[in-house]
Amino acid sequence: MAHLLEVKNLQVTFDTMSGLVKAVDGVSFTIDKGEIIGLVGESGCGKSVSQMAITQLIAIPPGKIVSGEVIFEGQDLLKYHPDSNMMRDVRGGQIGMIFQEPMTSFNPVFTIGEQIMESLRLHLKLSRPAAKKRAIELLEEVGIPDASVRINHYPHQFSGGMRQRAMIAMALSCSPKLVIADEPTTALDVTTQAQVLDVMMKMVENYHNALIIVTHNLGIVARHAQRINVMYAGRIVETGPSEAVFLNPGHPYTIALLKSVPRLDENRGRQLIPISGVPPNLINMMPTCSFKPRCPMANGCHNQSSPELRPVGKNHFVSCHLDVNGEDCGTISQ
Amino acid sequence: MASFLLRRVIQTIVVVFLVTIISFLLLHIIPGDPVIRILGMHATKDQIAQLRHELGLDLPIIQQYIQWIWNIFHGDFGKSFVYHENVRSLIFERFPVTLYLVSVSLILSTIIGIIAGVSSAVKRGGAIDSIISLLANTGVAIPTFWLAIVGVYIFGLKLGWLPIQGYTSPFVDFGQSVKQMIMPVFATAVPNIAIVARQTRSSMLETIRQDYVRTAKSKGLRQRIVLYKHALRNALIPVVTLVGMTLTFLIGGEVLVETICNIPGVGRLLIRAALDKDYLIVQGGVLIIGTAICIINLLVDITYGWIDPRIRYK
Amino acid sequence: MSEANFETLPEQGHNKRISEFQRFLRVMFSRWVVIFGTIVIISDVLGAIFAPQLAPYDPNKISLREMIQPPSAKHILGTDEMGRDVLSRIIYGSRIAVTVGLVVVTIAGIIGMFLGLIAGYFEGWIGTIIMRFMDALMSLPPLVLMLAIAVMLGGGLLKVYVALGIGFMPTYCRLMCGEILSVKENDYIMAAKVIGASHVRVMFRHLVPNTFPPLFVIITLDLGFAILAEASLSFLGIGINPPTATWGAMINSGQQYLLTNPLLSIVPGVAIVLLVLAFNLVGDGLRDALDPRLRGRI
Repeated sequence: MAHLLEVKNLQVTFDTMSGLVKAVDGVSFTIDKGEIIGLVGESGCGKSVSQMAITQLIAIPPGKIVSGEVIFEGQDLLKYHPDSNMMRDVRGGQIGMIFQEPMTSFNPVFTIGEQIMESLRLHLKLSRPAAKKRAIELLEEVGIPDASVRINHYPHQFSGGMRQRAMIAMALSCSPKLVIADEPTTALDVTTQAQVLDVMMKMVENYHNALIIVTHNLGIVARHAQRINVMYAGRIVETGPSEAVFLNPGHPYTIALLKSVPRLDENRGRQLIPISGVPPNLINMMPTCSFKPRCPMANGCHNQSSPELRPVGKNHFVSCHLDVNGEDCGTISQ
Repeated sequence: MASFLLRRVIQTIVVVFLVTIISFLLLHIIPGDPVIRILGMHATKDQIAQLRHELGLDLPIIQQYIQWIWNIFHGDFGKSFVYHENVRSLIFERFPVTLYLVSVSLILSTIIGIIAGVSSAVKRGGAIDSIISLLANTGVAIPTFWLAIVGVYIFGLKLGWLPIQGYTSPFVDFGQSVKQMIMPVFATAVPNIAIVARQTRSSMLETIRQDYVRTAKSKGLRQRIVLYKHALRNALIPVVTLVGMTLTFLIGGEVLVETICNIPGVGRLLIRAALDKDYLIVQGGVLIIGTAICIINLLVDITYGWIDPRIRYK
Repeated sequence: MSEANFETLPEQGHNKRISEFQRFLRVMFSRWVVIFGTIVIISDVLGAIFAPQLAPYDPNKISLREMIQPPSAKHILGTDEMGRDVLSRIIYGSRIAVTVGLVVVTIAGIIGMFLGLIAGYFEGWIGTIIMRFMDALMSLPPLVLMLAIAVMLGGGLLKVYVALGIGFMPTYCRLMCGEILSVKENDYIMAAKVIGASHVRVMFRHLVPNTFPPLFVIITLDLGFAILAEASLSFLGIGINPPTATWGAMINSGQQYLLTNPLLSIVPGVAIVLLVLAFNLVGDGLRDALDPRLRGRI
C-alpha cells in the first residue's frame, strides 16, 4: 500500500550572514493513513524546518529547498510552485498545521470564528451560515465552553490553552488527511499541556487523520506515537516503532536522551546524565558523523564518514557506525 | 472601550491645558519688556502704561493667566497691533482655507503613501521597492517651500500650465480653484507621502513576519488575501497613529506654502504677524492650531481603538 | 569524551566583540546608498571646514556691477542680487548647515534625555507631567512652535538654536522614557538593585546604554531635519542675520529672480536635499545594522 506521505532526501538550506546553514540535510521518512508518528530532537535540529518544507512554507530567500521529494498521495509537492493552486489546496485542505505559539498564531484583529470560518469556506466551499455552524461545532468538540458566544470573541480574549484548542479546531476543520503539529504544547504550562494534548489526540482519533507530532518532549510521543523519528543536526539518526526505540534505542544520541530524562518507573536517585557539549554549528558541517563530538562511544569509532541508516530490528533503523556494544558494524561509507 | 475613551479625553484636556500654558508663556519669554518691543523706543510713558494694562501685564502672572484664559473662553483673543482688528476674527476668517488645503493634502498623501508603502513591502528587494524607497527617502529631505518654488518655476513660469499664486474658493470657481490648489497641495503632500510610505513599508514588513501570517498561509489562502486581508489591516494600525503626527508636519509646510503662493490662510497671517511683531496673533494662532491638532489626535486615537480590537476591550 | 571539534564551537569573548563591530560595519556599508550618504556628509563637513580654501570668492563680497548674472566661466553658478558669487555662498552655507544640526541635536538631546530619564525612572506625578508637556509640545506643528519661540526671543543665531532645540526635544524625551519603562521591568535591573546598587548607578550603568541604538538612529535623522528646520526659518527671514550665507535665506532672496537666474533658488535647495537625504540614508543604514533581528539575516 502506498504511503500517504513520503519524504525523500529532503535538503533545506538558509543563507545567512555567517554562511550557508544546512538546516535539513537529507531527511527521509514516511507516514501512512491514520498513522501517528513523532519527530523528536533538540532545538535547532531542523525538525520544524523539515515540516514547514512539506507545505512549502519556508521563506524563500533566505531559505531554499535544495533537493528532495515530498510525495503526498502520489504527487511530488515540491514540483509545484509555493503559490500554485495545488499547494494552496493542500494547505489547510489536505494537510493541516498546528503551530507552537498560540499567543501569536491568530490574527488579533479578526474573531476566532472568522478565522476558522475562513478555512471552511475556502476548502469546503461552505456558505457563511453553514461555516458558522460548523465552526461552533468544532469549538465545542475541542472543549471550549459557550462556543456560540465565544466564536465572536477575539484571540486576546482567549487564554493560551483555549487558543491552542481553537488552533486545533482550525487545523482539523477541513478534515485534512495529515495533521502536522509543531511543538503544539511547548508554550503552555504543564497542566494545560496535558489537557490540550488529550483534546488533540481525541480529535485525531475521531477524524482518522495521520499525525506528525514534532517535539523535544519524549513523554508526549511515548504515549501516543506509533513510530518515532529522532533528528540530530538536520538528519534522522534513528527511526522505528516507538516501543522499539524506547526500549531498545540504537543510536547513542537516543540513548543519551533517554538517560537525561526522568522516568516515573525507575529508582529515585538515579543521576540524570545530560548530554555533554553543545549542538553543532550547522554552517560548516564536517563530513564525519555529526554526533561524534558529543558521543560517549566516539573513542571506539574510527570511521571518518557520515553513517547511513542501517537496520537494527524490524522496521527499526539507526545511523551509527557502531552497534550498542561499541562494535563496528562496517557500515558503508557515504 | 468606554474607559479607553475616557482616559483619552482626559489626556487630551490635560494636553490642551498645557498648550494654553505654552501659548501663554510665549509672550513672557520675550527678553526685555514686550511692551517697549511692540511700541518702539519712542513710546511715551502713558502709552506704555496703557498697553501694559491692556495686555494685563501689570498683574501677577497667575492672575494674568486666569484672565487670559477667561478672555479666551469668551472669544477674546485680543486685538492685533497691526490690523487693529480682533485677533479671533482674523484667524477664524482664514481658518477654513487652511483647513481645506490641509485636508486635501492629508487625504491624498495618506492614500498615495499607503499604496506606495505596501507595494514596496510586498515586492521587497525588487526594482519597485528600491525606487520607492529611494524616492521616499528623498521626499522627506525636500524642503516644502523649495518644492513650491521649484514647482512655481517649472509649471507656472516656464510652462505656464498653472497659476503661480492666489486662491479661489471652490464654491466660487471650481476649475480655477483646483488649478491654483495643485501646487500648494503638491508641495505639502510630497514629504508627507514619503513619511507615510516609509512607515507603511516598515510596518508591513514587520507584520508579514508575524506568526499569524504564517498561519494564514498554512490554511491555503491566496497570497493576495494573506497580504491584503491579514497583514495589511494589522500593518495599518501604526500608520493610523502616524496620521496625527503627519498632520503637524503638514500644517508646518502649509504655513510656508501659503506665503509663497499667496493664499489667504492662517499660515500667511501667522508669518506676517511674526515678522511684524504682532505678538497677539502669533499667540492666538499657536493656541488655536495646537488645540485643533489635539482634538484631531483624539479623533485619530478613537479610530485606532475601533480598528484594533485589543484596545477596545482593555 | 572525545575532543570537541573547535571549528564548530561559537566564538568566545574578545574575538566575538571585534567581529561584532566588523559585522556591523559590513552590514552598514553593504548598501551603496549608505556609502553614498556617508560620502555626501563627509564632503559637506570637509567643505565647511575648508570653506576659505575651497570657495573661489569671498561669499560676502558685494559687487554691484555683477548683479544677477547667469552661470559663466567666472562665476560657475552665477551671482546673486548683490553680486556675490553663488558657489562661494553655497560652500560657506554648509558651515551653518553642518553646525546647526550638531548644536540643535546636542541641546535637544541633553535636555530631552534628562527629562525623559526622570520621567521614566520616577514615573508618578512628575513623570506624567513631563510626558504630557512633551505631548503638548508635539501637538504644535514644529515649524509653528519654533517660529513662535524664535520670534519671541528675538533674532540671532543663538536664539534660533534654542528655539530649534526646544522643538526637537520631545522625541528624545519620549525615547528615553519609553526605553527606561520597558527596561525597568527587566530582571537584570532587579538584580542590580538587589545587590544594593544605588538609583543613580542603576540608571547610568544599566539603563542608559540600552537606549543607545535607537538613539543613534534618531540623532542621525535629526541632524538632517534640523537643517530643514533652520532653512525654513531663515527662508522666512527669522534667525540668521544677513549677510551670513545660509541656504534657506538664499532660496528666499532668489525667489524674485526666478526668471533671470533660477539657480539662485534652486541650487541651495539641492544642497539641502542632498545633505538631508544623506543623513536619512545613513540613519536608515544604522537602523538596519543595529537591528538584532536582521543580524543573522534569517
